[in-house]
Amino acid sequence: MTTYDLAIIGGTASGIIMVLGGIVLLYKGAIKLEVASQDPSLTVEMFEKKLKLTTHVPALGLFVIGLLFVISAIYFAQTTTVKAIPVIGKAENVEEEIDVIIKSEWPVSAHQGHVQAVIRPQLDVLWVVISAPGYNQRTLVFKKEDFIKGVNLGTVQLEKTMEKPDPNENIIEELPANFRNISLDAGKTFGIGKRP
Amino acid sequence: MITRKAISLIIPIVLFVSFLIPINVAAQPAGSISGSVTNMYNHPVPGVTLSLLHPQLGRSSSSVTDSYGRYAIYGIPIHSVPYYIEVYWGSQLIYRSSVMVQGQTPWNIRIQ
Repeated sequence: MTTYDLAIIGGTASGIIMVLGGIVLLYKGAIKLEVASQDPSLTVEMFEKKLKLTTHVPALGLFVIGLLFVISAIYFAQTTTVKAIPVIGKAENVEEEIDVIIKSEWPVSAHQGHVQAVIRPQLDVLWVVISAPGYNQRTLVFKKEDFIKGVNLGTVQLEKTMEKPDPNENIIEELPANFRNISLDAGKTFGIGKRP
Repeated sequence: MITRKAISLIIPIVLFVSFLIPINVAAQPAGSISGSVTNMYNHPVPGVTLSLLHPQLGRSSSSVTDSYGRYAIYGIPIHSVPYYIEVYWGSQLIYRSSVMVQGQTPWNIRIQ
């Protein structure tokens, strides 16, 4: 559990205690939900007096502040939503279909073989790996400030390393007669394949 | 003698506690296959797609070889019926062989 988690739990607990405590104090008659006086009893001024909140019932402040604690804890605890990032680019002088993988990493620390970490995935760096059969792959790295409006790969050149092999010279084991062959593009039903 | 009132109290308590206890579901045993794809000169073959095919399970997620010709497919259910490993150059099949996946299975492929 990190300091951030503790702060969120602490904020939520404080808010709940304030609201429940307010209810208990109301029940015992220590505070009253009634107009204290005709003059404003509690005034909050914010943003150089541009925003002014006034109440005649100061006990309500307990509930409002308690609720603010809970709402802000919920707001900061929510997972980061990632907005859509457009990707454009062109591979030049590549005769084969290209494969583009975009990934990010979140390294965690380990101490004496023990790993205990919480990750909060945020896109700070993007790795773009471009590959094609018979070509050496290219890896491009984009920092957050570079892809804030989208990833522009530009024109990418790949180095050719070999020609397409002749399928007739390779081992292609026959499938049994009753075998239901499934194309490569069909839905994948198991396994996780590693990409470059 | 357990009264009806006691039962009506026990059932919701048991249900509530059962939600709190983490359930350890026995994971299905899974294996992996990894290795490299090289050509007849023992040079790595980059950018080719590998996938497994099984008569009952269908097709696996595919792996693409890196610049060193390395590939890997994880989370493969251990099965008594062998798989077929296929290598595609783009969309063209260039290699297929049957393989038994048991634990961490090394499988190097040489194409001509």
